[in-house]
Amino acid sequence: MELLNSILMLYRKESLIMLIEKYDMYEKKRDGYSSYEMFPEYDSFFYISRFFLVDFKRFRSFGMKVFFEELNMLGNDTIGTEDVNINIDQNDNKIYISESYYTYDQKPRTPEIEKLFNQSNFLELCKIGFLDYVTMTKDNFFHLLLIWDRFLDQSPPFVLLYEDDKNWFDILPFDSKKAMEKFVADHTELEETQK
Amino acid sequence: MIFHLNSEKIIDVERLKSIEGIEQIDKYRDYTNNFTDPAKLKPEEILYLNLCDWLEPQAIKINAALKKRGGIKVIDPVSKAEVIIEKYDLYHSLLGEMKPEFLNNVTKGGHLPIAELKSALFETGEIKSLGNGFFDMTIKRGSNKRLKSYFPLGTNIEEAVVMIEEAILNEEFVKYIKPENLSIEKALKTTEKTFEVVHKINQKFSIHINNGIAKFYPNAL
Repeated sequence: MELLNSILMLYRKESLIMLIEKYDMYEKKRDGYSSYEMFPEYDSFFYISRFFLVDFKRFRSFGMKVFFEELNMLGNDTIGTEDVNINIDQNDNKIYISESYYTYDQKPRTPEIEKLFNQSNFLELCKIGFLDYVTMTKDNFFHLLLIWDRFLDQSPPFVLLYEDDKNWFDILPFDSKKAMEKFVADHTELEETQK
Repeated sequence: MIFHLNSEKIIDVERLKSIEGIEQIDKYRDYTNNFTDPAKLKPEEILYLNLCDWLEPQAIKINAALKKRGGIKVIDPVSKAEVIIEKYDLYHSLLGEMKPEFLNNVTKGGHLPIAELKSALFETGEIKSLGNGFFDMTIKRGSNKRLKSYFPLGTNIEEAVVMIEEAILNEEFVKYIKPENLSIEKALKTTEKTFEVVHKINQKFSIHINNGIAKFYPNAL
Protein backbone atom coordinates (compact mmCIF):
# COMPACT_ATOMS: atom_id res chain seq x y z
CA MET A 1 0.00 0.00 0.00
CA GLU A 2 2.83 2.34 0.96
CA LEU A 3 4.60 1.57 -2.30
CA LEU A 4 1.42 2.19 -4.25
CA ASN A 5 0.96 5.53 -2.51
CA SER A 6 4.54 6.51 -3.29
CA ILE A 7 4.11 5.59 -6.95
CA LEU A 8 0.84 7.49 -7.15
CA MET A 9 2.41 10.53 -5.48
CA LEU A 10 5.33 10.46 -7.90
CA TYR A 11 2.93 10.06 -10.81
CA ARG A 12 0.90 13.04 -9.68
CA LYS A 13 3.94 15.23 -9.18
CA GLU A 14 5.62 14.29 -12.44
CA SER A 15 2.62 14.04 -14.67
CA LEU A 16 -0.41 15.86 -15.83
CA ILE A 17 -2.31 15.91 -12.59
CA MET A 18 -2.42 19.31 -10.99
CA LEU A 19 -1.95 19.34 -7.24
CA ILE A 20 -3.81 21.78 -5.02
CA GLU A 21 -1.61 23.29 -2.31
CA LYS A 22 -4.08 25.72 -0.74
CA TYR A 23 -7.77 26.34 -1.17
CA ASP A 24 -10.89 28.03 0.05
CA MET A 25 -14.38 26.64 -0.57
CA TYR A 26 -17.29 29.03 -1.06
CA GLU A 27 -21.01 28.55 -0.97
CA LYS A 28 -23.56 30.93 -2.49
CA LYS A 29 -25.68 32.58 0.17
CA ARG A 30 -28.46 35.12 0.07
CA ASP A 31 -26.05 38.06 0.18
CA GLY A 32 -23.10 36.67 -1.82
CA TYR A 33 -20.50 33.97 -1.32
CA SER A 34 -19.37 32.72 2.03
CA SER A 35 -16.25 30.70 2.84
CA TYR A 36 -16.79 27.45 4.69
CA GLU A 37 -13.47 25.66 4.55
CA MET A 38 -10.02 27.10 4.02
CA PHE A 39 -6.82 25.03 3.89
CA PRO A 40 -4.42 25.62 5.52
CA GLU A 41 -6.69 27.27 8.03
CA TYR A 42 -4.04 29.65 9.37
CA ASP A 43 -2.48 31.20 6.32
CA SER A 44 -2.24 34.51 4.48
CA PHE A 45 -4.31 32.88 1.69
CA PHE A 46 -7.06 34.50 3.79
CA TYR A 47 -6.29 37.89 2.16
CA ILE A 48 -7.04 36.89 -1.41
CA SER A 49 -10.15 35.14 -0.21
CA ARG A 50 -11.16 38.26 1.69
CA PHE A 51 -10.57 40.38 -1.41
CA PHE A 52 -12.93 38.28 -3.55
CA LEU A 53 -15.59 37.84 -0.88
CA VAL A 54 -15.71 41.43 0.34
CA ASP A 55 -13.98 43.95 -1.89
CA PHE A 56 -14.18 42.72 -5.46
CA LYS A 57 -17.75 43.82 -6.08
CA ARG A 58 -16.88 47.33 -4.88
CA PHE A 59 -14.14 47.66 -7.49
CA ARG A 60 -16.43 45.98 -10.01
CA SER A 61 -19.11 48.62 -9.46
CA PHE A 62 -16.73 51.20 -10.96
CA GLY A 63 -16.26 48.96 -14.03
CA MET A 64 -13.78 46.16 -14.64
CA LYS A 65 -12.09 48.14 -17.40
CA VAL A 66 -11.37 50.96 -14.96
CA PHE A 67 -9.91 48.54 -12.43
CA PHE A 68 -7.67 46.87 -15.03
CA GLU A 69 -6.47 50.24 -16.24
CA GLU A 70 -5.66 51.33 -12.72
CA LEU A 71 -3.69 48.18 -12.01
CA ASN A 72 -1.74 48.69 -15.23
CA MET A 73 -1.19 52.40 -14.94
CA LEU A 74 -0.15 52.66 -11.30
CA GLY A 75 3.56 52.41 -10.57
CA ASN A 76 4.81 50.52 -7.54
CA ASP A 77 1.77 51.79 -5.70
CA THR A 78 -0.97 50.59 -3.41
CA ILE A 79 -4.64 50.47 -4.11
CA GLY A 80 -6.85 49.24 -1.34
CA THR A 81 -9.87 49.29 0.85
CA GLU A 82 -10.25 49.03 4.59
CA ASP A 83 -9.95 45.23 4.30
CA VAL A 84 -6.93 44.60 2.08
CA ASN A 85 -4.15 46.39 0.23
CA ILE A 86 -3.23 45.48 -3.33
CA ASN A 87 0.42 46.38 -3.80
CA ILE A 88 1.77 46.42 -7.31
CA ASP A 89 5.32 45.53 -8.26
CA GLN A 90 5.56 46.63 -11.89
CA ASN A 91 9.24 45.62 -12.09
CA ASP A 92 8.55 41.96 -11.29
CA ASN A 93 5.04 41.99 -12.76
CA LYS A 94 3.62 40.82 -9.44
CA ILE A 95 0.76 41.64 -7.11
CA TYR A 96 0.94 41.45 -3.32
CA ILE A 97 -2.38 41.35 -1.49
CA SER A 98 -1.68 42.27 2.10
CA GLU A 99 -3.34 42.73 5.46
CA SER A 100 -5.32 45.78 6.45
CA TYR A 101 -4.50 48.75 8.64
CA TYR A 102 -6.57 47.24 11.43
CA THR A 103 -4.21 44.29 11.86
CA TYR A 104 -0.83 45.76 10.94
CA ASP A 105 -1.42 48.84 13.08
CA GLN A 106 -1.11 46.66 16.20
CA LYS A 107 2.36 45.33 15.30
CA PRO A 108 5.44 46.84 16.97
CA ARG A 109 7.59 48.87 14.57
CA THR A 110 11.30 49.49 14.27
CA PRO A 111 12.53 52.90 13.04
CA GLU A 112 13.23 51.32 9.63
CA ILE A 113 9.66 50.05 9.39
CA GLU A 114 8.29 53.39 10.56
CA LYS A 115 10.26 55.05 7.77
CA LEU A 116 8.71 52.72 5.18
CA PHE A 117 5.25 53.53 6.54
CA ASN A 118 5.96 57.22 6.33
CA GLN A 119 6.97 56.69 2.70
CA SER A 120 3.79 54.60 2.17
CA ASN A 121 6.08 51.88 0.82
CA PHE A 122 3.74 48.96 1.39
CA LEU A 123 5.44 46.85 -1.26
CA GLU A 124 8.72 46.88 0.64
CA LEU A 125 6.85 46.24 3.89
CA CYS A 126 5.55 43.05 2.28
CA LYS A 127 8.94 42.06 0.89
CA ILE A 128 10.71 42.41 4.24
CA GLY A 129 7.98 40.31 5.83
CA PHE A 130 6.47 42.95 8.09
CA LEU A 131 3.08 42.73 6.38
CA ASP A 132 1.38 39.39 5.86
CA TYR A 133 0.52 38.90 2.20
CA VAL A 134 -0.27 36.56 -0.62
CA THR A 135 1.47 37.11 -3.95
CA MET A 136 0.97 36.11 -7.58
CA THR A 137 1.81 37.35 -11.06
CA LYS A 138 -0.23 40.21 -12.43
CA ASP A 139 -1.42 37.96 -15.27
CA ASN A 140 -2.68 35.44 -12.74
CA PHE A 141 -4.49 38.14 -10.78
CA PHE A 142 -6.15 39.47 -13.95
CA HIS A 143 -7.21 35.91 -14.79
CA LEU A 144 -8.90 35.59 -11.38
CA LEU A 145 -10.60 38.95 -11.73
CA LEU A 146 -12.09 37.99 -15.09
CA ILE A 147 -13.38 34.64 -13.83
CA TRP A 148 -14.82 36.02 -10.60
CA ASP A 149 -16.51 38.78 -12.57
CA ARG A 150 -18.19 36.11 -14.71
CA PHE A 151 -19.19 34.04 -11.67
CA LEU A 152 -20.94 36.98 -10.06
CA ASP A 153 -23.22 37.02 -13.10
CA GLN A 154 -23.64 33.26 -13.38
CA SER A 155 -23.90 32.58 -9.62
CA PRO A 156 -22.72 28.96 -9.45
CA PRO A 157 -23.80 27.43 -6.11
CA PHE A 158 -20.25 26.47 -5.10
CA VAL A 159 -16.90 27.96 -5.99
CA LEU A 160 -13.38 26.77 -5.27
CA LEU A 161 -10.45 29.20 -5.08
CA TYR A 162 -7.11 27.40 -5.01
CA GLU A 163 -3.37 27.68 -5.49
CA ASP A 164 -1.69 24.77 -7.25
CA ASP A 165 1.77 23.27 -6.95
CA LYS A 166 3.05 25.63 -9.67
CA ASN A 167 1.90 28.66 -7.62
CA TRP A 168 -0.92 29.34 -10.07
CA PHE A 169 -4.18 30.55 -8.53
CA ASP A 170 -7.47 29.57 -10.09
CA ILE A 171 -11.21 29.57 -9.46
CA LEU A 172 -13.65 26.85 -10.50
CA PRO A 173 -17.46 26.60 -10.31
CA PHE A 174 -19.32 23.54 -9.02
CA ASP A 175 -22.94 22.46 -8.97
CA SER A 176 -22.64 20.65 -5.67
CA LYS A 177 -20.60 20.65 -2.50
CA LYS A 178 -19.86 16.94 -3.02
CA ALA A 179 -18.40 17.53 -6.49
CA MET A 180 -16.21 20.36 -5.21
CA GLU A 181 -14.92 18.33 -2.28
CA LYS A 182 -14.22 15.36 -4.56
CA PHE A 183 -12.26 17.62 -6.91
CA VAL A 184 -10.17 18.84 -3.98
CA ALA A 185 -9.63 15.28 -2.72
CA ASP A 186 -8.57 14.15 -6.20
CA HIS A 187 -6.04 16.95 -6.48
CA THR A 188 -4.39 17.03 -3.10
CA GLU A 189 -1.49 15.05 -1.72
CA LEU A 190 -2.42 11.54 -0.58
CA GLU A 191 -1.71 12.47 3.02
CA GLU A 192 -4.51 14.99 2.70
CA THR A 193 -6.96 12.69 0.96
CA GLN A 194 -6.46 10.06 3.61
CA LYS A 195 -7.41 12.42 6.46
CA MET B 1 -19.38 72.75 12.00
CA ILE B 2 -19.14 75.62 9.51
CA PHE B 3 -17.29 77.67 12.09
CA HIS B 4 -14.60 74.98 12.31
CA LEU B 5 -14.09 74.58 8.56
CA ASN B 6 -11.09 76.85 8.68
CA SER B 7 -7.73 75.95 7.17
CA GLU B 8 -6.05 79.29 7.80
CA LYS B 9 -5.78 79.41 11.56
CA ILE B 10 -6.40 77.32 14.64
CA ILE B 11 -9.70 78.64 15.89
CA ASP B 12 -9.13 78.08 19.58
CA VAL B 13 -5.54 77.28 20.50
CA GLU B 14 -6.27 77.21 24.23
CA ARG B 15 -9.06 74.68 23.79
CA LEU B 16 -6.84 72.47 21.65
CA LYS B 17 -4.11 72.66 24.27
CA SER B 18 -6.57 71.54 26.95
CA ILE B 19 -7.69 68.36 25.10
CA GLU B 20 -5.84 65.41 26.54
CA GLY B 21 -5.53 61.74 25.71
CA ILE B 22 -6.40 61.93 22.03
CA GLU B 23 -3.60 60.35 20.01
CA GLN B 24 -4.50 62.17 16.80
CA ILE B 25 -4.17 65.55 18.57
CA ASP B 26 -1.17 64.57 20.69
CA LYS B 27 0.93 63.93 17.57
CA TYR B 28 0.47 67.59 16.68
CA ARG B 29 0.97 68.72 20.26
CA ASP B 30 4.49 67.28 20.12
CA TYR B 31 5.13 68.59 16.60
CA THR B 32 4.12 72.17 17.39
CA ASN B 33 5.46 72.32 20.96
CA ASN B 34 1.98 72.33 22.47
CA PHE B 35 0.60 74.42 19.61
CA THR B 36 2.95 77.31 20.30
CA ASP B 37 4.45 77.01 16.81
CA PRO B 38 1.41 76.83 14.49
CA ALA B 39 3.45 78.21 11.59
CA LYS B 40 4.72 74.67 11.06
CA LEU B 41 1.24 73.51 10.13
CA LYS B 42 -0.01 73.12 6.57
CA PRO B 43 -3.55 74.35 5.74
CA GLU B 44 -4.97 70.80 5.67
CA GLU B 45 -3.44 70.09 9.08
CA ILE B 46 -5.02 73.25 10.50
CA LEU B 47 -8.39 72.20 9.08
CA TYR B 48 -7.98 68.71 10.55
CA LEU B 49 -7.12 70.07 14.00
CA ASN B 50 -10.07 72.46 13.94
CA LEU B 51 -12.31 69.52 13.11
CA CYS B 52 -10.78 67.51 15.97
CA ASP B 53 -11.70 70.44 18.21
CA TRP B 54 -15.25 70.35 16.77
CA LEU B 55 -15.53 66.60 17.36
CA GLU B 56 -14.15 66.52 20.90
CA PRO B 57 -17.20 67.64 22.96
CA GLN B 58 -19.45 65.31 20.98
CA ALA B 59 -17.05 62.39 21.39
CA ILE B 60 -16.95 63.01 25.14
CA LYS B 61 -20.75 63.07 25.34
CA ILE B 62 -21.19 59.88 23.28
CA ASN B 63 -18.49 57.95 25.12
CA ALA B 64 -19.76 59.12 28.52
CA ALA B 65 -23.24 57.86 27.65
CA LEU B 66 -21.75 54.55 26.51
CA LYS B 67 -19.79 54.21 29.74
CA LYS B 68 -22.85 55.04 31.85
CA ARG B 69 -24.77 52.12 30.37
CA GLY B 70 -21.83 49.74 30.83
CA GLY B 71 -20.75 49.65 27.19
CA ILE B 72 -22.38 47.68 24.39
CA LYS B 73 -21.90 43.98 23.84
CA VAL B 74 -21.23 42.64 20.34
CA ILE B 75 -21.90 38.92 20.02
CA ASP B 76 -21.82 36.54 17.07
CA PRO B 77 -24.60 33.99 17.58
CA VAL B 78 -22.73 31.29 15.63
CA SER B 79 -19.13 31.43 16.87
CA LYS B 80 -20.18 32.91 20.23
CA ALA B 81 -17.35 35.44 19.88
CA GLU B 82 -18.19 38.45 21.99
CA VAL B 83 -16.68 41.68 23.15
CA ILE B 84 -17.84 44.78 25.00
CA ILE B 85 -17.29 48.15 23.35
CA GLU B 86 -16.35 50.61 26.09
CA LYS B 87 -15.39 53.54 23.88
CA TYR B 88 -15.57 54.66 20.23
CA ASP B 89 -12.52 56.00 18.42
CA LEU B 90 -14.55 58.64 16.61
CA TYR B 91 -11.46 60.56 15.52
CA HIS B 92 -10.22 57.61 13.47
CA SER B 93 -13.64 56.41 12.32
CA LEU B 94 -15.13 59.74 11.29
CA LEU B 95 -12.26 62.20 10.67
CA GLY B 96 -9.41 59.83 9.79
CA GLU B 97 -5.73 59.65 10.64
CA MET B 98 -3.29 62.45 10.00
CA LYS B 99 0.35 62.55 11.00
CA PRO B 100 2.57 65.65 10.93
CA GLU B 101 4.84 65.85 7.87
CA PHE B 102 3.60 62.57 6.37
CA LEU B 103 0.34 63.61 4.81
CA ASN B 104 0.45 60.88 2.17
CA ASN B 105 -0.72 58.53 4.90
CA VAL B 106 -4.05 60.26 5.45
CA THR B 107 -6.11 57.64 3.65
CA LYS B 108 -6.85 55.62 6.78
CA GLY B 109 -10.22 55.96 8.51
CA GLY B 110 -12.40 59.07 8.13
CA HIS B 111 -15.81 57.91 6.92
CA LEU B 112 -17.87 61.01 7.59
CA PRO B 113 -18.28 62.78 4.22
CA ILE B 114 -16.91 66.21 5.11
CA ALA B 115 -16.43 67.62 1.62
CA GLU B 116 -14.03 70.37 2.68
CA LEU B 117 -11.71 67.90 4.42
CA LYS B 118 -11.79 65.45 1.50
CA SER B 119 -11.05 68.09 -1.08
CA ALA B 120 -8.20 69.45 1.06
CA LEU B 121 -6.62 66.02 1.46
CA PHE B 122 -7.25 63.95 -1.63
CA GLU B 123 -7.65 63.78 -5.33
CA THR B 124 -11.16 62.43 -5.36
CA GLY B 125 -12.63 60.29 -8.09
CA GLU B 126 -15.86 58.67 -9.09
CA ILE B 127 -18.64 57.94 -6.60
CA LYS B 128 -20.75 54.77 -6.48
CA SER B 129 -23.82 54.24 -4.34
CA LEU B 130 -23.85 51.52 -1.70
CA GLY B 131 -27.57 52.15 -1.17
CA ASN B 132 -29.46 54.14 1.49
CA GLY B 133 -27.26 57.17 0.83
CA PHE B 134 -24.00 55.37 1.71
CA PHE B 135 -21.39 55.53 -1.01
CA ASP B 136 -17.92 54.50 -2.15
CA MET B 137 -15.48 57.05 -3.52
CA THR B 138 -11.96 56.65 -4.90
CA ILE B 139 -9.42 58.84 -3.18
CA LYS B 140 -5.72 59.30 -3.89
CA ARG B 141 -2.84 60.92 -2.10
CA GLY B 142 0.75 60.28 -3.22
CA SER B 143 1.13 56.59 -4.06
CA ASN B 144 -1.83 55.66 -1.90
CA LYS B 145 -5.06 55.04 -3.73
CA ARG B 146 -8.08 53.79 -1.88
CA LEU B 147 -11.68 52.88 -2.35
CA LYS B 148 -13.29 54.40 0.68
CA SER B 149 -16.83 54.10 2.00
CA TYR B 150 -18.78 56.99 3.47
CA PHE B 151 -21.85 57.59 5.58
CA PRO B 152 -24.64 59.47 3.76
CA LEU B 153 -24.10 63.19 3.20
CA GLY B 154 -25.34 65.19 6.14
CA THR B 155 -24.91 62.37 8.68
CA ASN B 156 -23.95 63.83 12.02
CA ILE B 157 -21.77 62.15 14.62
CA GLU B 158 -24.61 60.94 16.82
CA GLU B 159 -26.51 59.54 13.86
CA ALA B 160 -23.43 57.58 12.75
CA VAL B 161 -23.05 56.03 16.21
CA VAL B 162 -26.77 55.24 16.49
CA MET B 163 -26.59 53.37 13.16
CA ILE B 164 -23.65 51.31 14.39
CA GLU B 165 -25.40 50.48 17.65
CA GLU B 166 -28.66 49.53 15.93
CA ALA B 167 -26.69 47.20 13.64
CA ILE B 168 -24.95 45.61 16.63
CA LEU B 169 -28.35 44.96 18.20
CA ASN B 170 -29.51 43.26 14.98
CA GLU B 171 -27.92 40.16 16.52
CA GLU B 172 -28.94 37.63 13.89
CA PHE B 173 -26.62 39.32 11.40
CA VAL B 174 -23.56 39.82 13.60
CA LYS B 175 -20.60 37.89 12.20
CA TYR B 176 -17.17 37.48 13.78
CA ILE B 177 -14.22 37.62 11.37
CA LYS B 178 -11.56 35.30 12.68
CA PRO B 179 -7.97 36.46 12.08
CA GLU B 180 -6.14 34.30 9.56
CA ASN B 181 -3.29 33.37 11.88
CA LEU B 182 -5.17 32.15 14.96
CA SER B 183 -7.21 29.08 15.79
CA ILE B 184 -10.79 29.83 16.76
CA GLU B 185 -10.01 28.84 20.36
CA LYS B 186 -7.15 31.34 20.58
CA ALA B 187 -9.02 34.00 18.61
CA LEU B 188 -11.98 33.93 21.00
CA LYS B 189 -9.65 34.69 23.91
CA THR B 190 -8.01 37.79 22.40
CA THR B 191 -9.09 41.30 23.31
CA GLU B 192 -8.89 42.34 19.66
CA LYS B 193 -11.82 41.32 17.50
CA THR B 194 -13.41 42.22 14.17
CA PHE B 195 -17.12 41.90 13.45
CA GLU B 196 -19.36 42.58 10.52
CA VAL B 197 -22.83 43.77 11.42
CA VAL B 198 -25.84 44.53 9.24
CA HIS B 199 -28.36 47.26 9.99
CA LYS B 200 -32.05 46.62 9.32
CA ILE B 201 -31.89 49.05 6.40
CA ASN B 202 -29.51 46.47 4.85
CA GLN B 203 -26.29 48.42 5.35
CA LYS B 204 -23.24 46.49 6.50
CA PHE B 205 -20.58 47.89 8.86
CA SER B 206 -17.23 46.52 9.98
CA ILE B 207 -16.18 47.09 13.57
CA HIS B 208 -12.66 46.54 14.93
CA ILE B 209 -12.47 46.43 18.70
CA ASN B 210 -9.14 46.48 20.50
CA ASN B 211 -9.13 46.48 24.29
CA GLY B 212 -12.67 47.86 24.35
CA ILE B 213 -12.06 50.71 21.87
CA ALA B 214 -14.02 50.44 18.61
CA LYS B 215 -13.22 51.75 15.14
CA PHE B 216 -15.91 51.35 12.49
CA TYR B 217 -16.77 51.94 8.85
CA PRO B 218 -19.56 51.22 6.38
CA ASN B 219 -18.89 48.22 4.14
CA ALA B 220 -20.39 46.69 1.00
CA LEU B 221 -22.95 43.89 1.38
